[in-house]
Amino acid sequence: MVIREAATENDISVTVGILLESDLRKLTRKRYFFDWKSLYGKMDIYKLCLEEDNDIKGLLAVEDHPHEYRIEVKLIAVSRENVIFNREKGKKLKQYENIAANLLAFAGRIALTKYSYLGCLSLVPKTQLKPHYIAEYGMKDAGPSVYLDGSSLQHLVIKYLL
Amino acid sequence: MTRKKTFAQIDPTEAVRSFVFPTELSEDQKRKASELLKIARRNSQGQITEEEKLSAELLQLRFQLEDYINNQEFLLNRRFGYFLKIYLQILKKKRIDFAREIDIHETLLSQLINSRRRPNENIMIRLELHSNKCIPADYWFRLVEKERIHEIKTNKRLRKEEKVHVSNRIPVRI
Repeated sequence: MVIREAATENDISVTVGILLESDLRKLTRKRYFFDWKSLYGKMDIYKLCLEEDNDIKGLLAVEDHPHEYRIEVKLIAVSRENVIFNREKGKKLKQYENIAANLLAFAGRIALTKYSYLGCLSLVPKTQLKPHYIAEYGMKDAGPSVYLDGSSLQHLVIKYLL
Repeated sequence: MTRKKTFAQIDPTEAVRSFVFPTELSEDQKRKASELLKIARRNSQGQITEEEKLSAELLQLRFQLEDYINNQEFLLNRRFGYFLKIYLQILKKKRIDFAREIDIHETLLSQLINSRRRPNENIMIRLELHSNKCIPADYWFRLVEKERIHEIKTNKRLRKEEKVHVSNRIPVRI
């Protein structure tokens, strides 16, 4: 599993693992945008870290719907240095690319590992972002939700994880 | 600055490359969203081909193998034979046919499946080739290694037997 270092365009190895209680003190709102501590214990949270130093570059919260063979992505955020705000465009590069895509693919991996060809990955986007999720990740439109299943789910997982 | 204002300063393309934002839906909206998703999925499920089913099942096996190999715990019912049996089940192969396809005797295949023998590297490579690299040879190799590591850690009989061949042990214990 790799993410791309923007400045050098080198692929950097990363791991995704379950968030530990001992990680919570690192999860400031300033760097990770949301109150991740309040979600701990309520849903499954995963962290994406560089293999070399264990620094958390992104976080993923998912909810399993076993009766529907579905994994729902509730929240993803990359760390502050990996987002470009409008005022920063052209002035700075983000540190790493593809962090959120890897986390989304990891959620897809959970769906495939648990539910095989019946597996589905879904999320409920902000309305104005829906076409962008569809364009960026090949997600399918289901009203308020967008989702991946079948070959589209496999495609995302293979693209980012294999 | 509020969170809303912060996120308003991010371009939509950049936003989907960096976030999935939380959404607050009412119970009614949740129910409607779930219903629409079920309808959409029912339509797309009907279009899944046998080939897509097969590749999903192979991916599932690959990820289960990965997770097991990377986990510290050894489980007696998760040895090479168990995963090989699943591979055959996915392919819906009879043992006699599969044995022929990887050029081994059917008896040897049964011994492998029943964990009475361990595969050599040639068989692991043949499995990788047979699966079109869906399951790499090193996964099978690491699976067997995991079993061997467990054995050497826990083999009391061998320790007892080898004791007679060791003298003048170092005087400290860590």
